[in-house]
Amino acid sequence: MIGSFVRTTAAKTIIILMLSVAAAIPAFALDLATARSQGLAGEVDNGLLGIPPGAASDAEGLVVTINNQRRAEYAKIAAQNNLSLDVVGAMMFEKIYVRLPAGTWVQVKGQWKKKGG
Amino acid sequence: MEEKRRISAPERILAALPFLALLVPLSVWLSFPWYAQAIIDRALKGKPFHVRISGVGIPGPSGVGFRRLDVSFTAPADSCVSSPTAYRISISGGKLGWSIRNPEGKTDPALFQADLRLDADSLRLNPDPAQYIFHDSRPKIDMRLEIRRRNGLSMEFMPSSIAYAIDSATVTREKLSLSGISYRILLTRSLNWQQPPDTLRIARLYSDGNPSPVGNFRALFGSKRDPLKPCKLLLSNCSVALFAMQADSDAIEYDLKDQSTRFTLRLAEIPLDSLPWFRSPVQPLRATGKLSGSIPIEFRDSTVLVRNAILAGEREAQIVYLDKREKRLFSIDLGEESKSKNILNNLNATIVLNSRNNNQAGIGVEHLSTLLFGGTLEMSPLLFDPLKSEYSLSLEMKDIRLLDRLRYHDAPNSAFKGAISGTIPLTYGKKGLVPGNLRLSSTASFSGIPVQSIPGMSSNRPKQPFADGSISGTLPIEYANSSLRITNGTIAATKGSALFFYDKENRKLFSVDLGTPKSNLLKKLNASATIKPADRKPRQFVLNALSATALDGNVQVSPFTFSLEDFDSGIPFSVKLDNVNIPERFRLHGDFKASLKGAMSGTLPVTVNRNGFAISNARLHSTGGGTISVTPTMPERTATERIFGAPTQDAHYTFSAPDLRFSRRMNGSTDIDFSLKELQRKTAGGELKLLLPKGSLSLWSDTKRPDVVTLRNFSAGFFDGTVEIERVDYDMEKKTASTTLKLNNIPLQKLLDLQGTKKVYATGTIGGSIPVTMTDQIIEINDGAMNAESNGQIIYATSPEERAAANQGLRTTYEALSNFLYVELLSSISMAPDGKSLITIRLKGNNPEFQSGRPVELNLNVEQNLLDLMRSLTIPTNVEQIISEKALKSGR
Repeated sequence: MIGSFVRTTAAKTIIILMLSVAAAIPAFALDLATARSQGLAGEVDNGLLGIPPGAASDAEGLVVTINNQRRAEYAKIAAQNNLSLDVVGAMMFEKIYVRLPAGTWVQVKGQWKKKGG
Repeated sequence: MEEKRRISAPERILAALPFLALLVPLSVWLSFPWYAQAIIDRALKGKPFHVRISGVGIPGPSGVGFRRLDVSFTAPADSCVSSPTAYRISISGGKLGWSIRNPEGKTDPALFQADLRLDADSLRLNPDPAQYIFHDSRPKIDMRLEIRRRNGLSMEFMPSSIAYAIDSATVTREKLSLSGISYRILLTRSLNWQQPPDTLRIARLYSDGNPSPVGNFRALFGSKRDPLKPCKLLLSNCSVALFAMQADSDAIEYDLKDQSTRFTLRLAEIPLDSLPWFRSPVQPLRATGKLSGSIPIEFRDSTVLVRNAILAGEREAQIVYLDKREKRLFSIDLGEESKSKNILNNLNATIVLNSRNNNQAGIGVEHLSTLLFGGTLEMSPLLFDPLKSEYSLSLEMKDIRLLDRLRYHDAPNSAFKGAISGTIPLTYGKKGLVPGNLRLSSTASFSGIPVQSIPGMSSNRPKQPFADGSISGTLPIEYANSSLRITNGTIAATKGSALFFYDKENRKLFSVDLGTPKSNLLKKLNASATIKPADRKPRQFVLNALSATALDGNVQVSPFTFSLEDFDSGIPFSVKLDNVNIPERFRLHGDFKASLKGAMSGTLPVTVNRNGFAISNARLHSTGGGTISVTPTMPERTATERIFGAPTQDAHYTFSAPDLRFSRRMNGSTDIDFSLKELQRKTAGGELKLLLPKGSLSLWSDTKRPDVVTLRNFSAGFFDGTVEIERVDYDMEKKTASTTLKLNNIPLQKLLDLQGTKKVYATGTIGGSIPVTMTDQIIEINDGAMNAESNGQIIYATSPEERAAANQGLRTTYEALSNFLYVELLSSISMAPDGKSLITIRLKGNNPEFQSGRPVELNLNVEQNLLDLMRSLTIPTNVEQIISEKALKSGR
């Protein structure tokens, strides 16, 4: 009983934190959105950004910067909820994914593909 | 002289004329050659003898010479001989000597005794009808006559004895000849002209000028017949040498009427070592024990029939093949212990003496067949080729179970089985006996041959055999056209058969298990080899094909040609392995255990010479892999010690897809280029994975330092990065080595993951070099350096509770490390032989969210005993603790 209570509380907290992370991201949204729409950057299922195969390296700096920020945020969530960074990243990917426009590059289980319509 | 006087005495009319008294004897003496024939005619008048003499000389006082004397007489037909036989004796270059005296104790004054002695250059006896020619050179015949003077001139000649010692005479019958005949003829009136028994000796029988295997004939006989068997000539105590074996018969009865005989020759206890084939100083063949046998013979009409002859070896009779050190190598058991008692039985042969067949002359073997070692041997009729002037025949063999009697002395428990069938064509001509195109086939099976007795597998240290167990198998062999072919042979090894390899201290290092209790070690063994040219040296051996299914895979040897001289320079050939399951049979001994899977494939180019073997650029690879476990023996521990004490030292190395390229020189120096798909080291402490490890090993390359193994150009994937060793010389005896590990591109996160913390995250890679010195298995690191190869991020994530609980300094550190973007990460590592180590880490960078992103410098020192880390290759979990306790140094 206690275990399930802790887990439920943790899940609620994560969702709240995720929303706040998502709110923080728009500072780069213009650039990131452009990079993603141009196929220069894609979303990876660990919650970080990646460079899709064959893409130019124009967005590399952007990707590193955003990933550093995301990692720092994820780490905070992970520390607060006693979770690993990977788990938090995977949950974040699911939130990010639903909001991605069709045609955006995504990498799931190591495979790059474009999000379907 | 007396005789002449007596002849002249009656001429009383002219007695008064003294000169005439002189002249008449002189004229008689001088004219003797002209009337000698008349005297002989007169003396033999009414006798069945005709004597012609020519070239008679003037007689001397005790003899007279003549050029030729022909005596002919006819033996009348009797109850034994149906037609009369005429004999002509020709004596040439003879001299007849005489001495006449009164016999001792003379009572009759008219009785004289004359001893005649005939010496001649040669004596020939020709019977008619022509059956044979008897020839004796330098014959000596002694004859004693009693001469009785009757009234007047008439005289009576009474022969009393004739003695003729025949020595080295020959009898020729067309192309057959008997030479070295000796027999003493002694006929006396007192014995009623019966020849007393004497030994007839015949040294050798020649056929068409060539010595036959029959010789040294002896038989005792005389002319006296058994009155009940008047037509039988009885020979007793007979013996003859057949193929250098002495055969005996107590009695041979020769039927004069039928000209036939029937007797049995007995071969009794012939010592095999007395036979010339087993006494050659150059041939390594020897024989022991004795042979016995019986040869029933029928002779009639110039034909010898052998019926059901038997040859048996007595107990322990053996033919032995010796090795170079005169040690018994192989032997053929001839003794009675074998299942079939006889070596040879039911031997039947038809031998025609003096055959007049166009195809053969002299002794002709028209038919020969026998049961030999349980099989049959049959000889085809002899054929004569007039163009080549040579004879040919062939021997047909069927199921001769020679191999059943084969013994291999290096392996007393070994056994062979198999029957030989085939054809042996033989020609006999100017070159002697030449075997033609042999065709032999046999399905030979063997068992109980120790692997150790196979050449190259023997060890001079009996306690450390190179091999164990024994092999058995079946090899269907065919030999034809100078080619040996094995088709679909199989070889199996008994349970426990193995090859062993030892370390320097003679401890078993590893072994290859050969035991195949259920299936065969080698199946579908096919081989073909040719010797060419068959008639000229140096002979070349051509291996046309050699292949087998071995341990579920295939082994194939490339075709190659060599002569024995090539053993000096080296004979190259190559062995190809295709999916051979050697790894499963690989066993490690001592503290090691191996469990390997998968099949090996590859090519081994080998060169063999007298001194050893070399391998050049061989390649072996496998898709499989396996685990090698090192489990050092530890003292027995209690349950408490096992749970709370130090973890076991057991280590398991798992590897996959080994690919080896190697060369070995004649002196043993070996280079191995290896690569694996993966090598994993698993201990109680953790795992270490090397991807694609590869490198070059040199063994025994420095004759002055044979214990040094050199590893060069080693590289492996290690945590997404690489680890490299340029060169390391490992002394196996001193257990020392010194080298530098070069690490590149190792993700920092992977190293942090090893500690098991969920709180430290990092990006970026590090690289560096770590000098490692090993002395007697104790490792020392002196001033190794590991630095970040690029900028990166380090996050030490803390919860609000932790931050709240921390003091000001620590809280600042937490805050700085919540998102630290480093631009420099330098670390150094040293470890003393006792494991005490010091790691210093210096970080430079900033946190954009901390104090407006001002530059921050962090120094961390980690002091600990690193031996556990080295053993388990995990970073101790107390790093978090150390980070927590370190003071933050601001770089302001």
